[in-house]
Amino acid sequence: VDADLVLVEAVKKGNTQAFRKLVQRHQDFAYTLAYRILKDRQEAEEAAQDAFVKVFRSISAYEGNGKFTTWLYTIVYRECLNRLRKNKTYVEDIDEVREGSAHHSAEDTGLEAMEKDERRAMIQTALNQLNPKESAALTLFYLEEQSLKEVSTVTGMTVSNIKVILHRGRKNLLKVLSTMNSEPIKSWI
Amino acid sequence: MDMKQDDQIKQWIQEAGMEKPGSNFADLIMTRIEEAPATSIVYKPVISPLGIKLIVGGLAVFFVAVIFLSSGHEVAGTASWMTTYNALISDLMRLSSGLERPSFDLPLSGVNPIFGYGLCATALAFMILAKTINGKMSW
Repeated sequence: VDADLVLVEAVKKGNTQAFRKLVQRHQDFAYTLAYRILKDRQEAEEAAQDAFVKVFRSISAYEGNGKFTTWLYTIVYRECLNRLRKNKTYVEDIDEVREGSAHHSAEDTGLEAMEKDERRAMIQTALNQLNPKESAALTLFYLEEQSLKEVSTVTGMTVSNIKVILHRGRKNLLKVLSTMNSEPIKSWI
Repeated sequence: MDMKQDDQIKQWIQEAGMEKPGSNFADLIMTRIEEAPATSIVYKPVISPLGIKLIVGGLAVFFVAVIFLSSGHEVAGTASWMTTYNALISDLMRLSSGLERPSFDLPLSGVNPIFGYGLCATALAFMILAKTINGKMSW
């Protein structure tokens, strides 16, 4: 039995504590997705919270035909894009890679000192340099291991578009990583 | 891009892992939900089903009363506007010969005005009584 579905049914019957469990189950990924798109922790938290409140208010519309997470991520994704549009910080050019701190974040990190945590931080930094759509697609596809069709549902784009965005996202991620002054990173690439 | 590189990217992104929101993330959401339950999107008709039934019933009673209680004859003081209308049409017809007089033959109420007022008052009293019985009714 799908645990999410059981909780959703309980929420529909008026059990708000069941909704708290749903939030706790999915808050990390919802927030991660929002952060990858918005690149700002405070705004990502607000966006993810708004998305969860919207989910609660429209939970009667969810009939369990698809995965709950796909529905949730769709709402998070739309909420984030709406915020980007309102703030006019949305970059349409998907080839554009933000200039950031990537050049110097790993500058002084030698091969011997490169630990897993530092590598993780570097990848996170690189992901944050990407275009919001690329970053979101890579996160959904590789981190949450959603299928191309599910990513397509969440983003509202065609599967072909998603393939293109994933391709460009991978290319740009490697491009950003290659700018990092780190021999280990270069050796991975 | 080969499969090896694709797998490498997957490994990096999974290694990067998930971000963590603030420790009170769920609490803030629950507070917002509990503060504003009235804004939940639940379909609620402006008029309750019982209200709609009563309105339809009231209208049905009114029309049935008008149709079945009408005699077809004018009762003094109840349809003076009809007389005025017919006189006006007759005058117009005299002025413009060749045009056929339009027919306007609605049934005339044969109900005494006092009886009519009583009927309306009874219907209103019935609706108020029903509203009192069903406290949830919204108008």
